[in-house]
Amino acid sequence: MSTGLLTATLRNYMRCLPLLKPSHCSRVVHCSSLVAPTRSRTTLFAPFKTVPSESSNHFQSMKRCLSDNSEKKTVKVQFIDRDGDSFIVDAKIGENLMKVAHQHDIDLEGACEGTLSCCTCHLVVHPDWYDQLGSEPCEDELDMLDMAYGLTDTSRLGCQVVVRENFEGLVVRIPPYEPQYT
Amino acid sequence: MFSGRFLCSKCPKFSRLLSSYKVAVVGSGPAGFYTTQELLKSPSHQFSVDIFEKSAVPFGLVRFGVAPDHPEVKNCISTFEEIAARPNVRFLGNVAVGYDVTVEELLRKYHVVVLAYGAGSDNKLGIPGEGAAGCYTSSQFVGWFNGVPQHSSLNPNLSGENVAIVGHGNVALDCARIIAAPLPHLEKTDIAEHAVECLRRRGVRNVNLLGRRGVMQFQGTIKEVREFTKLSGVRLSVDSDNIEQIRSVLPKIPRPKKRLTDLLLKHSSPPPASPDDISICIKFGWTPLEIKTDDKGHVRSIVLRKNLISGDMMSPDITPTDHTLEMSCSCVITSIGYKVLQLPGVPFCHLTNSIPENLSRVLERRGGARVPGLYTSGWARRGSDGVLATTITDSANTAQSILEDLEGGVRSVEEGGDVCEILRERGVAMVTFQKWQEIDTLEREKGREKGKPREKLVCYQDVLNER
Repeated sequence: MSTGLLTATLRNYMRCLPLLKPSHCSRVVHCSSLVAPTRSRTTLFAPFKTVPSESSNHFQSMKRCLSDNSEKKTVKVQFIDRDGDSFIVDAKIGENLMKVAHQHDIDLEGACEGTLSCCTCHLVVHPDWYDQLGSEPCEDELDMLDMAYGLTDTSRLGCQVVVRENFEGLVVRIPPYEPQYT
Repeated sequence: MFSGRFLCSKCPKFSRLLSSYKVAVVGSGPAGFYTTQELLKSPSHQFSVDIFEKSAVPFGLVRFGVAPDHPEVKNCISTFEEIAARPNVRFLGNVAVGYDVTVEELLRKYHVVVLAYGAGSDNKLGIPGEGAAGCYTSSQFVGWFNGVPQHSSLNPNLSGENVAIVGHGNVALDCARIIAAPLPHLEKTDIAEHAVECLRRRGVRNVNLLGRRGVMQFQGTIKEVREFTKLSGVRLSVDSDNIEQIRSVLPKIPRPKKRLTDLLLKHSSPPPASPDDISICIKFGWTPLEIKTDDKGHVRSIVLRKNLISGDMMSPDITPTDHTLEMSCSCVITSIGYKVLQLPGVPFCHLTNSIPENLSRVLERRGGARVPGLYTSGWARRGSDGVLATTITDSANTAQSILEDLEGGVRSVEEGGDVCEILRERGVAMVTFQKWQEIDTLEREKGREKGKPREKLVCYQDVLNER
């Protein structure tokens, strides 16, 4: 990875600051489809709020009863959407990041539904995390990424990154739409 | 898995306080549906959207443009179906805006009219012999294998050994792949049955893809090029000058262009062909001058002129030379992009073949005043260029312009009076989404009998008459 590109990637990230660094991930605000998303700008330093959500004990125990062994372990993953809004969500281990985003109503496309035939679930992985994803993009994924706007050296397709146990605190960004030329 | 994605996630509680705006979208391809989707995502406004479609069936180029052996690309249809199923969205098929109902009438009835009708006409080479028997445009050829009703009887001449395709874009690559692919690769797709019948009798050995410019000006995407390297019975080769010169600039260029160029150059010296292979050759630096015909008027050859490509390989000087070549072929397909057509009542710039616009807002003329309420999106806005992701971006930008304008004040429109009443009075046989779903079911059933995902109907009349 060239230093220039890496700097550019980091600069893109600066626009979305303040970020939750992997080491700061204990400061989380639960967010699920039941709760209005939290803006990182305002909530990062706000007192930790407990909000009733799917991840509350009541729901968890109910779900455990209903879905016996299918309950999977989750890790906290942070998505930054096109507006710069931050979402911290429970990502099931073994699920891909595109599905995780959809399950939590995060505005990420997925036109080909994870069949490696488009680039609409393009995510920019935080440079600190890129090498810890446990997989490298295959040739077909690189071919698709080459069509994506806002391509960076740490770009991945959400559908190709499977959540692993070490993802606790992972930060990924959905690149903003490119403005129109006139 | 998508449930709830289109709900307003940012402030659902306020939605009932909002007024609803009426939107007419002209065209039900990706630009139409994605613009609708982007509008429906808005947390601050509610919309009721009517999507007008000239054809009886929805989805535009996703149905009629995407190659049959790319079924995954068509998965976006499930998103479109979800949008169409929403109670505030209506699909009105078989309605030609500009003819059955005018844009002016729509502007009187809807707060917002979005022109997302694509680029419906082929660019022409403008050389002698174009249009002779055996010379087809890419919309004819693609329409033929994709079951477009008016092209279903094209029956292209693929009996000869040599086919020339003019153009270096993804459509040209699709045409070449359909012509050269082994039949088992196609038979299980939703390719039109008449196309498979014709391809069974093909005699094609060589497909030449001709482009005026150099390797670095190649317009196709890497996935489509790589597919040729994976198809059995097909041998890809690239014929270009300046190979060393191009190699020397590779380290300095952005990754997408670098990887594509690298792949192309790798095939400039391909391994020897096996005698049964169909050859696909991408030739650079040739301008077509004339298509010659035999005494029956059938295509016999294409005359090409060699161009000298020099200077900066990223934006080279293209200089015509005296060197010409007559390449024998019995079939020519021209695939050099599409033109946006003028819709009656819509401003149009004939110089640039485009709708004058600024950030998707339609203007009376280039640099002129706005036409209030009228917007454009997708290929109708920017011409025939870009993949699905580009159209999604475009749609988001169009929706953003619309939303910004609504913040600044709303045009008044006629109260009441559904557009469907006008259309019925005029005897237009509209196709609802429900009717399309009947066609869809029928097509899937017909496909299942043949082991295909669907067999497209090329005449919808029977289904439409059952009312």
